[in-house]
Amino acid sequence: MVPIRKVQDDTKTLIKTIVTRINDISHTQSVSSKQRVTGLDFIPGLHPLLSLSKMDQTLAIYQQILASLPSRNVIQISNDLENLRDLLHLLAASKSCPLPQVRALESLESLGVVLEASLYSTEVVALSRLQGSLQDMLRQLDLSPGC
Amino acid sequence: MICQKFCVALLHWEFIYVTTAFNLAYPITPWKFKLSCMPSNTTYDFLFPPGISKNTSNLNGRYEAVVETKLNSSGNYLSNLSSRITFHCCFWSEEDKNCSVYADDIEGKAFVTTVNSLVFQQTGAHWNIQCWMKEDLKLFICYIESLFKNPFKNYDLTVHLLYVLLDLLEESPLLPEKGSFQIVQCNCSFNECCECHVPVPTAKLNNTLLMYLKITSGGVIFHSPPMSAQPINVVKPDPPLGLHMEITDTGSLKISWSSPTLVPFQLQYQVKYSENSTKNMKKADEIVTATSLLVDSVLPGSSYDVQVRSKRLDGLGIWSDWSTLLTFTTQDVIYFPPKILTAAGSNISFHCIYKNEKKIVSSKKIVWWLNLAEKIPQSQYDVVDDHISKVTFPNLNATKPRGKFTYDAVYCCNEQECHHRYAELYVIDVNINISCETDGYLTKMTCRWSPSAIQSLAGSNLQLRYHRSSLYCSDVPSIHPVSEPKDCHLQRDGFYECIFQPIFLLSGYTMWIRINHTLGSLDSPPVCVIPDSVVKPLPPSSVKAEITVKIGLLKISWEKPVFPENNLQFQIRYGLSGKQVQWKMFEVYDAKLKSASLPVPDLCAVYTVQVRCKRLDGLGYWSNWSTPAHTVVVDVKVPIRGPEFWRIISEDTTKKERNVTLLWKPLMKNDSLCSVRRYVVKHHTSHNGTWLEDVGNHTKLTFLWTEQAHSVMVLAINSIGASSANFNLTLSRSISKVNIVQSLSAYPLNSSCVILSWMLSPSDYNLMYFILEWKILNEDSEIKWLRIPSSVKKYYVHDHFIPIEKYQFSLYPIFTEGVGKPKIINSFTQDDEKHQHDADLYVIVPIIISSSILLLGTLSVLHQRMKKLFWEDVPNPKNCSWAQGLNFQKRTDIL
Repeated sequence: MVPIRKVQDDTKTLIKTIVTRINDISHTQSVSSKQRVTGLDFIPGLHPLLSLSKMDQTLAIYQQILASLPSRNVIQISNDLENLRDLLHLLAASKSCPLPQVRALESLESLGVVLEASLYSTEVVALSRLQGSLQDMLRQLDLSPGC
Repeated sequence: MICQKFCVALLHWEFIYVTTAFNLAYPITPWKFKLSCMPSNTTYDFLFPPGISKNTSNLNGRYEAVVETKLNSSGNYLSNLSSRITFHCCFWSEEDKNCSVYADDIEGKAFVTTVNSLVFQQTGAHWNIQCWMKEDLKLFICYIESLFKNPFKNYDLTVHLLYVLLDLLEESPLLPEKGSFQIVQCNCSFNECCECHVPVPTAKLNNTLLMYLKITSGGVIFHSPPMSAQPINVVKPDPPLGLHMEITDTGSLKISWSSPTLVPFQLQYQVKYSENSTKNMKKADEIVTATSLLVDSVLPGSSYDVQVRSKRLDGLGIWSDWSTLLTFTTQDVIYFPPKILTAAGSNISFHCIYKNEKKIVSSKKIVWWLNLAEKIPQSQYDVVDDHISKVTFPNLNATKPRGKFTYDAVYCCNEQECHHRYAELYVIDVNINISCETDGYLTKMTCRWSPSAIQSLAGSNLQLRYHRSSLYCSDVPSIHPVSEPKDCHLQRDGFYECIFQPIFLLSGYTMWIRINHTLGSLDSPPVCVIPDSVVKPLPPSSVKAEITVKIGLLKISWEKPVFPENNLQFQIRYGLSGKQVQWKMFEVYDAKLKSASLPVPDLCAVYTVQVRCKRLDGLGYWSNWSTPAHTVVVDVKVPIRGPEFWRIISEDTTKKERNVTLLWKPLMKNDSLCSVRRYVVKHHTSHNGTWLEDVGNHTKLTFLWTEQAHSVMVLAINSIGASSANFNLTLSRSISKVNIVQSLSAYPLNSSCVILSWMLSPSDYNLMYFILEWKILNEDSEIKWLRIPSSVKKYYVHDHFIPIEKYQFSLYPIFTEGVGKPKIINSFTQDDEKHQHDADLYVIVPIIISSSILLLGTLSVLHQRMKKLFWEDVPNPKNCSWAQGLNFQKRTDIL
């Protein structure tokens, strides 16, 4: 049985690790935060107040998106997201929160079409928004998020 | 009448087929059936079955009869009935010897009658036929074999098979039209055997295959009645392969086999075996659904013959041919199992049945030996039954190879007699250590393991298998039933290396080594590794080292690596640069620190510094050391002191002026911290006050001493400032007459060391230190000097002293008030006196001895007193190497 304290620490460390990984992907660093990219509404935005289930759902979407991206370095991030979701499940279990199984999202059905036309935009925006979401989650985890 | 009825039926073949109901086709049986044809004028009893209807559709389920053949001697169709010989053909089999004959009534409607096949066997042409679907479910085969007594037998036999695959919807009483039939020519061999191949699409395996044969033999064409089959119902598998027999661990005979291909339905197997032993001859025949069969109570010295065939388990099907006969002979001594491969630490057992001269030995008489060298204790035996003995080896140690033998030979013996056959015991130490390391980018985990412990087992191959759990490891790792193999590559150092990339940082990878061998497989104890806990970080970057100015500490700074995000501890090693750095270590446990300052003994030396890091919680490995950083020597502080200096005075008696030349030794790095840009002489006289004189890098300065007293001080200047502590020398005419050094003695110890000792008289002046000057006497040689602390009364002067030269030693007392009067000795004066005295003694003693014993006694007393005086000042021999081990109480040794 892993102490819940360790799970919490590992969750935060893993989030920081993913954030740093995204930072290390060179082409994501040059994206201007001032410019809004349209047509990619299926990529989750920022939600400062997140519950554990919402976090899990958000990460599941990102996992689906990353799995569709051809870049080699996003495979590792996708694996990290899987670990992170497992950690969130452990945290939820420690609070007796039921985390429903996340279903494949219908909105992502059009992902293939978008990827074909706008692969670069999708990757850059997805990683950028994922980074923001992770930082939100990191803050939220310090505040002991609800179910 | 009957003949007339058949003559009426002599219509064209195709016409007959159109009018014959489809369900009258002969259903192909799983066994062989026969086709018999005979001329129509043959007389036989023609029995109409009771209640037979002229409507052929009432004959459902009965095989149909045939019909006619036509003489093809001219190659033309003969419509004239009188010119034709008509053959009636029908199918029958050993199982059903009724031969149904098709005929036509007067009205042209078909009907069927049944005759006994014996009628046909008496005369006519006959063929054995067997049809089946091959196991690959792609080819339908009909095998036609001409019977020996066939009067039409000759070498121009040709057979054609005409067939049509009816669609499922078409399976109605209506027959297909003539043009629907496809024709294949059958391959016939010299021995009157033909094989017809009909390709069947997979999708039509359940359809009805309707066909008939057209056999041309001896110039006669025979048309068989139609026959039908559903291909899926007449599948004939290939014979089982890989028939194998072995004695199981429990002493049974295991017969096993395998099916050659995968069929889409389950098979049943018929096993036919016989046991031929001295006891009895036993035959058995069993049907099983598994691909093995256990035969109990195998006996030593017996032989077993086995054959197997297979058939579809459910539904219709045809037995395959029998497999090739396999014979298995058991030895007079049976070990089961005959060989065991096991892991060290495990417990195993061997069983044995021993047959000696046609008689099975009682299990109570059996003893066990190991390697024919060591009798196994009886406490390890068990009697299983009257004939089976068992030996158990508990907690086995790994087998030590003896030459090329990598196993232990276990012998089952009949008291004192051992059969040459033995069981083989292979015990392998499977404790293979698997160590893993995650790279500094947290994307790759490399695991290494060495197979050296199990290399002795020839024919084995090793494989790393793993199972990944979603998060963390269980407390006790175990081998999971679901595992994956991992490719590992042999490295030059003999280790295998397996790379996981990408990784799941927090998943538990349970790994073990599977040792596969023909005797079985063994697994090493599993280990569970979480990649996050075996991280070897990248070394810290931007490592810089400097000696801090004014503070004088070695400051090391660094940047932590990007990964891992955990808190890190750091180790610093530093040392003086050189070929072999003597490292000193310093540890930093504060993860936030990015620099450390350390005291070092030499601030003006070049230090080499490296830093490495590891997780603060102790998990993982130390990183490699960073690339070395080196300090640069710069001035870190003002010089600790000014240089030691002395003066040489040259006096011009005519002018009553004295030229003073100050001499000093360049300041070393340890004192200058770390360089001297220039020297400055600070003068002070009562008349002129204080003034500075810049000497630059020179170490000598001459000035005129005109006043009664003249004080000088030499300052060393570096980039930071002037030396803080400096020597002061006052030249005073009055003090130069103060004499406090009563005596000065010099004793040479060797050519590089002279001891000076002196005695002082009390003085009111404030003695700061001494200056000792020495030079070769009577030569204009360089004056050498050194500063001696005021507290010292004895001093070792190290120089290159030439034994034949005489030296002048001058000891100057330096007071705060000025330089006192020196004590000067010329060479080693006291020693010279002794030499002279000894010389005198050699002259005087003979005179004295010859003149007066009294005088001798007087001289003896005098001599003793001198000796005592001498030894008080004798130096400590430990300070001069040449003097060690000498007895200084013997005067002659000194001299």
